[in-house]
Amino acid sequence: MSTPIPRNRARFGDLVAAEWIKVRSLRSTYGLMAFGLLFAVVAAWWEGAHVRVAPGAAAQFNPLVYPYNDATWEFITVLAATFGVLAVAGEYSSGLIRATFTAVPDRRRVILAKGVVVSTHMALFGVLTSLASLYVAGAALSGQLSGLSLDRPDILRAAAVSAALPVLGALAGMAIGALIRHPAGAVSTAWGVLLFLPTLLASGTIGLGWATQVMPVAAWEAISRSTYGTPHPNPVPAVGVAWLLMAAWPLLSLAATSVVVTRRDV
Amino acid sequence: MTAAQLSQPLRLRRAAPMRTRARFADLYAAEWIKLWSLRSTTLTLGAAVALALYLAGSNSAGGTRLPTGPSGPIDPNHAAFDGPSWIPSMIGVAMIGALALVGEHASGLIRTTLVAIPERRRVVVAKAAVLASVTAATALVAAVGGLLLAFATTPGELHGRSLTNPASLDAIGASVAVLPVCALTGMALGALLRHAAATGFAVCAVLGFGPLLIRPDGNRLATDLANVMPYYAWGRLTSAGRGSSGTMTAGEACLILAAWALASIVVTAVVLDRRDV
Repeated sequence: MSTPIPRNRARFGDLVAAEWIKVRSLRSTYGLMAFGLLFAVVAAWWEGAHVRVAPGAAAQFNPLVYPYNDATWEFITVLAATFGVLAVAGEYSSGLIRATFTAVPDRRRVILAKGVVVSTHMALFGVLTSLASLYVAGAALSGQLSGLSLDRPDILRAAAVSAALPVLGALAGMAIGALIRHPAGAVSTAWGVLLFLPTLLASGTIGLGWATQVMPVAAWEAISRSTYGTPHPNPVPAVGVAWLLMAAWPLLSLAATSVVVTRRDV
Repeated sequence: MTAAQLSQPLRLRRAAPMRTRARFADLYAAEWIKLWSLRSTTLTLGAAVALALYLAGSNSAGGTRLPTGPSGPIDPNHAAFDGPSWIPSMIGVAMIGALALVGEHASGLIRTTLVAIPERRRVVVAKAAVLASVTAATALVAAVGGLLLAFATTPGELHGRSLTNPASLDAIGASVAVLPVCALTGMALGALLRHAAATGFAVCAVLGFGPLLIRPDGNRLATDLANVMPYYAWGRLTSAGRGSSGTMTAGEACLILAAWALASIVVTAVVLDRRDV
C-alpha cells in the first residue's frame, strides 16, 4: 500500500481562492465599491432631475445621457482602476508578493488568477452601478421624456457596455500598478491616463485630437451612444472599432501586467 | 598647547552654552533635505516646467484655434495659461506636498522628527515654507518661460508682447500663487488621510476632477462651488479662455487662493498636533 503522492502544484482554483482572500481582506475593496455606487446614484439623480430641454429641441432629446453621463463614468472607471492598482501595488508595498511568488513561481498564473478575481468583482460592481444609474435616472426623469427601460435594445446595449467599463478600468489599473508599484504614483497615473489625458487630448491643446478616440471612455461613449448634442462633441470611434477597443484594452493590460511582473525582481 | 594652558584647572574652562532649540532656519534646512532626497521631486517639478513650456509653444503655434476676440489681436495668456494644460502640474505639486507628509509617516521618520522638534506646529510651518518656496520658484520659471515662448512663437499681431504689462503680471502672479496653494492642499490631504494611495486619489479628485465635473457655467450652486476651487480662481486671474470664470472679482479670486493656503496649513498643524504618530 503506497501513500498518495502529495499534490504540490497549486491548481488554478487554489490561486483564485488565494487572490479572493487577499481582495476581500482589504477594507478599501468595500469602500471603493460602495463609494462608486453611491456616486453613480447621486449623479444619475442629479442629471435626471435637472434636465433642461429647449422647446424646439425635443426631437434631439437623448435620455441615455442622464444615466450614462461621461464625467460620472470616467470617475467610475478611475475608481475601478484604483481597485486594480491596489490589487497589484498593495501587494508589492506590503511585501506579500515575495511570499506569493515563492509559493507559486509561475508568476503568469498568479497574474491570471488576480485578473479573474479583480474582473469578477468589477463585473458585479459594474452591473449594479449600471442598473442603479439607469433606474434612478429614469425615476428622476419620469413625467418628462424618459422611456428608460431595458426593453429597448439600444438601452440594453448601453447598460451592458457600462457594466463592462469597470472591468476594463480595473485591468488597466493592474497594469499601471505593475509598472509603477508605488501606490500614490500608480493611483495618480491611473487618474492621468483614464481621465486627464482624454480631457487634455480632446481640448485640442496638443495636436493629437484623434488619439481621444482610442481612450476607453470614447469607446464606451461610441457604443452606449450617450453623447450630448453639443456643437463640438468629443470625437468617438466607429462602433465596430469601439468594440475592438473594449476588448483590446483589458487584454493588452493583462499581457503588460504579466510581462512586467515576470521580468522584474520583486 | 603650552604648559601654562595645560596647568589651568579644567573646571574653569566652561563650554559655550549649548543651543538646544532648533532655529527656524535649521528646520527649513531639514525639510529641504528631505524634499530633495526624493527622486520624485526633481522629476515632477521638471515635468511641470517642461509641460508648461511645451503646451505654451504648441498652443501659440496653432494660434488659429485660440479665441481671438472681436478686435483680432491674440492674447498670449490664452497660449501660456490654457486651463486644462496646467491641471497635471497642479496635481503633480500637490502629490509632492502629500508625499512630504505621507512618506514621512510611512517610513517612520516622523517619529524621529517629532522627538527632535517636539513643537509640531513649527515642523508644519517649516514644511509649508519649503513646499511653498520650491513650488513658487517652479511656477515662476514655468509661467515666465511659457509667456516668453508664447510671445516668440505666436504668429500675426500680438498685443502687449511684454512681461511687464498688467495682464502678464497678473497671470504670472496667479501662477506663482496657485502651485504653492496646490502643494499645501496636498499636504493637508496627506495629513488627514496618511495613506499613500488614498491621498493620491483624494488629490486627483479635489484638484483635478472637481474643476472638470463642476463648471462655473451651470446653475447658481454649481457656479458658486466652482468659484471656490483654486483652478477657477487661477483661471480668473490669468483671464485665459477656458478655466476662467467671469462670475467673481479678481479680489475674490486672490482671497480664495489665500484661504486655501491658510486653511491647509491650519488643518495640517491641528491634525499633526492632535494625532499620535
